[in-house]
Amino acid sequence: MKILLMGNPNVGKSVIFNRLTGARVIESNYPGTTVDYIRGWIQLKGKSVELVDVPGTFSLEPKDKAEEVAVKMLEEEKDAVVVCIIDASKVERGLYLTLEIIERGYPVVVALNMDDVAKDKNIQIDVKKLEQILGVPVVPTVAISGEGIKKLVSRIEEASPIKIDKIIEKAGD
Amino acid sequence: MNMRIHRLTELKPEEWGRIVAIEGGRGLRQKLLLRGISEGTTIRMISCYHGPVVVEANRSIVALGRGMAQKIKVWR
Repeated sequence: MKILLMGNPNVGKSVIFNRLTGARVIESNYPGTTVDYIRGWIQLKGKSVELVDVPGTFSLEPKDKAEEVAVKMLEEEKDAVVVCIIDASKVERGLYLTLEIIERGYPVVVALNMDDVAKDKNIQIDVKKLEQILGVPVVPTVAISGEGIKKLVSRIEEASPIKIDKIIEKAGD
Repeated sequence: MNMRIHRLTELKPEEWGRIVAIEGGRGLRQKLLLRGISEGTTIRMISCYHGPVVVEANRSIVALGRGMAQKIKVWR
């Protein structure tokens, strides 16, 4: 099993990667800091699992080099679990990528990162409702302070492939 | 002040506008939508005199090439 960290550019994938592996990947507050993938290892239930920090992408139709790397990575790892990281203050944009990944049949866990920023901007997210609609675990996190990271790890094994039709059915409710 | 339709590149820094049309194909429209730019959104110009056009849309800052920015029509 492999775990891929995916999401839009500048949502905090590398910060979460560093939190999980203890590695020191370069992170900065600019989109597109990670242009190639980086591998690391984490302990999950006593087993060593490979974790991959994938460059940020807006969609699975690549428009530049870094996005090509991301899509190729996803296509090569057919049995991977994907941790989809969404900027909680710009949820609607991250959901597009998340749905594309779910549609391709990958088990997904959603991390709503930068939850503190969203709260500062007075954005309230109904996490339970989102979880109910998507059918995948959704965990609010604040990667730079480490909040919610443990919960995110504990819910990785709950991830399972979801049929996109089911999400469409529930989305109308 | 009379309102009319401009190209995005004609806005001056700190001016606001509402996007009325994006004159491009599916690819461009999707690319802009995923960066928070679509018809109906209000945007604020940050920098437009040299090089890339920088705007704020939907609480995020986006830099666009001039070619792309010229295809965006705004109401101001």
